[in-house]
Amino acid sequence: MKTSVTALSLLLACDMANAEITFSGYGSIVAGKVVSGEVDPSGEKEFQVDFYDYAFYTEDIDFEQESVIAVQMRADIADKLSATVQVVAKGADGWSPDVDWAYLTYQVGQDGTLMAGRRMLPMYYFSEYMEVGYAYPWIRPPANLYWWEITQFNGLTYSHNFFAGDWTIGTSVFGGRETQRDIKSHDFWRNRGGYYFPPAGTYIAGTADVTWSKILGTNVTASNDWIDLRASYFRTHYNTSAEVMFFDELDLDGDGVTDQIVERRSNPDGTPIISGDWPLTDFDLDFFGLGGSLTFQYVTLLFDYNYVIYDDGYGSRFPTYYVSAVYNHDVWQPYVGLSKAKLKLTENWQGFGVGDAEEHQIMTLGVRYNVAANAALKVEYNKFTDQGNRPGWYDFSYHNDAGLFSVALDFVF
Amino acid sequence: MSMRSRNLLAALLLAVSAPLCAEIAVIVHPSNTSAVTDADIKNFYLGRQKAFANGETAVLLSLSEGDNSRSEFNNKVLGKTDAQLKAFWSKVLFTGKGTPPKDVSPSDMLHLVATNPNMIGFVDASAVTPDVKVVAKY
Repeated sequence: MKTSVTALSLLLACDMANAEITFSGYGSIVAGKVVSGEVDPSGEKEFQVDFYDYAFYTEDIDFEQESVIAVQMRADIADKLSATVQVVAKGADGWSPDVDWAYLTYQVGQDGTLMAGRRMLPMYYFSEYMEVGYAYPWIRPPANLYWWEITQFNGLTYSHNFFAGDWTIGTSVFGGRETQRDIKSHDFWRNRGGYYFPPAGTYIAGTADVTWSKILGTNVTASNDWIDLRASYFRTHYNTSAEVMFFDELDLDGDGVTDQIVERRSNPDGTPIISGDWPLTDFDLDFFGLGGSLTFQYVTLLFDYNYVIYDDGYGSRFPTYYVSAVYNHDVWQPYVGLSKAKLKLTENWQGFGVGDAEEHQIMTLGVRYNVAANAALKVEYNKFTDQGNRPGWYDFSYHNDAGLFSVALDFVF
Repeated sequence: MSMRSRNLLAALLLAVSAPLCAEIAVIVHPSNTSAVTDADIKNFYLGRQKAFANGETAVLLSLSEGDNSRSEFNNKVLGKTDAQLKAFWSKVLFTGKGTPPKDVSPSDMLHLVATNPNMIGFVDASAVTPDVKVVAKY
């Protein structure tokens, strides 16, 4: 086995003899601790920071939730063709390395680029580089906006850039699909009184799978010396499924009282029972976004407004936004930010009602200190406030108020 | 303040301000006849423009970290602090939208630009040799 691996590497080495290979990378060491707030249904004061990777802080200081290390390898295969792979290992994921990016880039003419393979899905203004802490001011993009279980996709992207006066215009179209299996966060939410309301007798157990198929979208950017604007849109078909179990209540003696409860997880043929498709688990999703940055002499303003439409049973709508201001001293960059997310139900699903089902905001205050040419130290405080006001079990908003203090060292190499 | 410490202070001020007064020369290969405007230079080094006016791809060089002329170029010409520019290029690099300029020493810069018609770089104006062509001074 060892020999064949060596032989393979030699072969690759020979093949790549003419190719220039460059290595680079980035990483973050982040420590955080909840310093105030209310206990949630799990019995802890929790602060969710990454939905996709199921990362959250409690009152115990934790170094693993958001710490990450990534290595990028780029090989120029031919004149206009290159291959890029990014391997990312996260503490929240037990440091197991994932291939988050793996794509071929083909230069089309002077202004066009065709990329084929696995890439980050360009949703929010910061989506494509949300893992690269060094590239933005804060410790993390606002956690109540960047909450999707899908952040990458496999497919094609074509981008075309050109000048128009003082402006640089970038356009891109992309399409593809993505499946994530065993998403722990769905279980996380459910166990905290989350948003699954399966048919009576059905219990969504453990993890769920999510597929985004027929992803098709576009990004348009316009930038000059001080303005950078970006509009994004995509549509996809959303499907989620999970292994479910039933509790059969048996009345053995016919007295109207349950004598025995039998748990059933598998079909007669032994395969697990999988939840079916219905309007809450299988629907179209539209994403609209407008974001950007304005750079003044000392201050940079950043903003992102997004609107997501689920064509699901609830007619879910998610208006979200954030604004942030950063002061740019040579090495010190203090910043403030506000992000707000809402879920509105616009259709009365089986008498569930319509209205605002979820609403919360995060206030952020922090400072970035550029300690070295390639490293930044950040200290940040976030205050999560739940603003949902639907009574009792109607309230999708299981979130607890919490204050989070975190420190990060972000670096690139 | 004694005379001696005042002199020392003056010397320190001189040492601090000297690099700020030095001129930066943007250089290309002598055979490169394309017009290179201030806007072109800015667009090249902010990853927006990829080719010279003659259609040839521009290969960017920068000076290694810690070189005073590098910070001065970033500040004066691009209007960015070193950290802002580094953050910008990390975003571009890790999203596959481009490759940052290659960092080299001043002597390698002069040698590389003198021998490659596609390259553009910058050095302290006092270091310029006849083997390269100066297209702008800042």
